[in-house]
Amino acid sequence: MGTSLTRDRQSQRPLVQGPYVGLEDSQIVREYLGGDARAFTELVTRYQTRLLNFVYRTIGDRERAEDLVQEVFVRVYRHLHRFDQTKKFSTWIYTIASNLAKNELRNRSRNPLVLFQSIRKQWEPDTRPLQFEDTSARPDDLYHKRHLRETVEWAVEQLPEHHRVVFVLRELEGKSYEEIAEITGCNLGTVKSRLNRSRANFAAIIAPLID
Amino acid sequence: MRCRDFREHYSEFADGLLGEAAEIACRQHLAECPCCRRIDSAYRLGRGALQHLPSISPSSSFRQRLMARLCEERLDPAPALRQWSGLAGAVLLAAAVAVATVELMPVPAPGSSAGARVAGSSGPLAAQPVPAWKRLVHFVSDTSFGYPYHLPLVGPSRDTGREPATPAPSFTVAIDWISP
Repeated sequence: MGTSLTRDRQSQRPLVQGPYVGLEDSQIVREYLGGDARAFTELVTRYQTRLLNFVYRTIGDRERAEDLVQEVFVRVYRHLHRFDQTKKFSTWIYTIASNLAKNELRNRSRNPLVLFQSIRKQWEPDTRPLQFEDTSARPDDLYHKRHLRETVEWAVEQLPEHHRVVFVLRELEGKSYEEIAEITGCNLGTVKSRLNRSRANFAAIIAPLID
Repeated sequence: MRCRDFREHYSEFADGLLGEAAEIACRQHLAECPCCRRIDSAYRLGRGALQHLPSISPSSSFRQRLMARLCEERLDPAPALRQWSGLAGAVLLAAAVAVATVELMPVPAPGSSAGARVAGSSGPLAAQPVPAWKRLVHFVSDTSFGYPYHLPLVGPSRDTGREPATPAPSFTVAIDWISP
């Protein structure tokens, strides 16, 4: 149950020079709280890409995702002195990111103008799924791969908010069920239930498109 | 196994977390049910594509903007402190409004009978004009519905506007409000 998926994204950690190579997050946090300001920069380096991808895949807006990830780091900077160092730093920072992403989705659903703009953006000619274009024009493998990629991206965006967060944390971030429970503040049973439904929804959305 | 049971355990089946018996039951159901088999195939194909989605990187200005925001955090007070200072400002403003209100209140005519008896004092209260800040004391204390309590200074009754000719010997004096 505690097994995390192996993720390509996780192995794409940038090469880090300096005194923090090989140190665990908890050690970096201790260094920072001990007065080493550079340690915070190391935390940013470690998490900026991962969080950006998580938030982007959850809310679907790249520019806004960058704003939210910046807000995550500001909050970490503000509250790190109160962080319980017996807990995993990764879980804490993902919790902050998850809450900001969920708030963003809720605000959008309440603001008709923002919702309209996000729908309109999804359906601009260069972003909409390729299955609505003339498929006979590009029959090569690259086209099919791109078709599938855009299809699954679009399918994730169609998932309901509370399913999407759990789905992205599991499928794209490789978090375990327990970590997802902690990040989302739900119990394990709820995580399994939401994951079940999100996977079923995801499959139901893409099945007709890839048949 | 029914479709409903298969869907209920699907996540754990897809993640290889089921026990042997349950895993076999799920596989058997997949072999028999074209609908669940189609969903399972679509999910696995989609999951494979998800795992190979390109990773997006922060923009070139991301780090610079973040550091600028963190500099602002260092220079500005914390949001909690800003909240409390805002609250303090609101309290001060309310107090200023209260003083201004009391200033505008009419001063009661000297010589009226009702008044406060100051513990330990004797003799009639001298009739003197009451400064605004002392009237504020009564204004504030009058709202506590006659409870006896200690005030830092002796104050006259709001009704009489009079104060004792000599100040009380103790800095803290108990006042019993007497209903007129």
